[in-house]
Amino acid sequence: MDPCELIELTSDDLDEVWGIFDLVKMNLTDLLVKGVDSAPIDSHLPILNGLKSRLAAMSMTLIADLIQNLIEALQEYKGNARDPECKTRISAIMLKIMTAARLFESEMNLETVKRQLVERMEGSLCKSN
Amino acid sequence: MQIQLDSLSREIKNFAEVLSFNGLNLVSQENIRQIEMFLQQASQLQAFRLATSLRYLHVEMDRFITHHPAFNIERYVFFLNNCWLFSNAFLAKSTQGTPKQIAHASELMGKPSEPVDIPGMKLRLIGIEKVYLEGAMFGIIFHFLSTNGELKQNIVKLSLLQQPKGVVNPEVLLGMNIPNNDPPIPFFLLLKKDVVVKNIKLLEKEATIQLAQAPPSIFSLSNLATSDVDPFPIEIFDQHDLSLKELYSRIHANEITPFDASVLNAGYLYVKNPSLDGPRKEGDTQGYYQTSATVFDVMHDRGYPLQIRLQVKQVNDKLIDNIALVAKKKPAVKGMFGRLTLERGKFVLYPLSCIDENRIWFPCLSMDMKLTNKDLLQNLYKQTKP
Repeated sequence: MDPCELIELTSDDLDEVWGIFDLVKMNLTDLLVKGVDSAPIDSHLPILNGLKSRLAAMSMTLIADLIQNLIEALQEYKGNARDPECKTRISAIMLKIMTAARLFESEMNLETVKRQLVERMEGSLCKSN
Repeated sequence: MQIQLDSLSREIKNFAEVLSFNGLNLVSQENIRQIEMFLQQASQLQAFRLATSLRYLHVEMDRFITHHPAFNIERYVFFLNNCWLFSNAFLAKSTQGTPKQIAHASELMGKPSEPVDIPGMKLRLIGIEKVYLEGAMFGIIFHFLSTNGELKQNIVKLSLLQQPKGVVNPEVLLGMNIPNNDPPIPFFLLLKKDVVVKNIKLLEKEATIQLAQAPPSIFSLSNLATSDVDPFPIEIFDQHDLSLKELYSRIHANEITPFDASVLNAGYLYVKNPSLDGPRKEGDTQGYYQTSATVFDVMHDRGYPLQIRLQVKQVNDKLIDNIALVAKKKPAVKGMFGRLTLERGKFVLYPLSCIDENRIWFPCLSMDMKLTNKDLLQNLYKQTKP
C-alpha cells in the first residue's frame, strides 16, 4: 500500500495499519537485539509467517516481500549454518526491513496528518456553504 | 578521500551486519573501541551525519554494557540502522556526478554551513528548552527572535551544551556568565530583556548562532537601568499562528527520506488562547522501550487537533508540572509558543514559552532563577550516586 492511499482508509483501518507496523518493528527489534542464534531458527518462523500474512492482507507488499526473503534466508541458514554469506544476507534483510519500516512510518505519519487537515478544511468549507 | 570513505563504509556496513546477526548479548568493550575508531575516522573524513549516528550508537551500546537504566532499545536499533544505511549510501554514491548528485552526496555527509559574521543583531528570547542525554550531554537551547536587519522575524537558536558532570538539571547553566562578555552578564538575565549582540556567527542553514571567540561576541541588555523586564510585544508571534491552510502548505512541503526519524519536525507554532485538557499518562514505563509520556490535549480556535506530549523523564519534570498548572487555569494562558512535531499521525507541540498578559515565561524552568555562584558550582560539580 502506498501511504498516499490512506485517504481511503477508515480510522479503524488506520489503527490496524499502525498495529501491524508496531508488530513488525517490535519483532524485528527483538531479533536484532537478541541475535538470530538466540533461539532455534524454526522458532522465529511462525511469527514471521504471521506478520507476512497480515502485511499482505493490508497490501503492505514491500515489507511483506522482505519478510518472505528473510524467512527463505533463515531456512537456507538452517541447512548451511557455517556459510558466512548466509549470515550477511540475513542481517542485510533485517536491516532493510527496519529501513522500509522507518520510511513507511515517516510517510504514514505525514499522510495521516495531511488527511486530518484536508478533512477539517472540507468540513469548514461545507459549513460556510 | 572517496577511497577512504568507501573503505570505512565497508567496515561499518560489515560491523553493523555482524552486530545485527549476533545481537547485543555478544557485545563487548572491543566493539565499543571499534565504534570509537570509526567515529574518529568518520569525523576526519567530514562524514558528520555518519559520525553523529556512530556517536549515539556508542552511547547506547555503552549504556547496554554498563546496565544503565537509560538504555533505550529503539534508539539503539535506530542508530545501528542509520550507520548501516549511511555506509550503504556512501558505497552506492560517488561524489562525482551531476550537480544534483553532488548536492545530495554533500547532504548525506552533513557538512555544516560556513559561519557568517554578523556585526550586530537585536534579539528577544522567545523560547527555552532543556536537553539532557544521560552520559553524553546536557544543556539549554535558547530560541531568539531577531528583531532588526535582514534577519528580522527569523528565529535563531543558541545552544549552551556541556558534558554532564553529575548534574541532572541543566537549569544551573543559566547562572553562568556569558563567556568573555564585558561587563559580565549571566545567561538568566537574557530571559526578560531585549538583547543587542555584537559580533556573532550565524549558521544560516541550521538557523543557529554561535559565540565568536576573537574578538568575542558581546551581549548588552537594553534599558537595564530602567526596568528588570522589557515589555513583550506579543504580536511578534502572529506569523506562527497558522491557519489550517497555512499548516497544510507547510506540512505538504516536507520530503521524506529514509534517514528521517519517526518524529518529523514541522517548525514553530503559536497557539492563541489555548485551553488544555489533561494530564493523562500514555505508553509503557516498563522494560527497554520507555515510551511513557504525559499528554495534554490542546483546544484552540484554529481547529486542528493538537497535543502536548512530554516524555516522562527527569529533565521534563518542571515542564510537566508547569503545563499541568496551566491546564488547571481557565483561560489557561493568552498564548503558547513551541516546536511543532508530527508523531504517529498527530500534531504535537513542545512548549517553549507561554504568554500571560504581555508577559513571557518559560515553562521548562523553575520560577526561582536567583542562583549564587556557590549554588552554581555545587550544582555543576556534585557527584550523583550511581
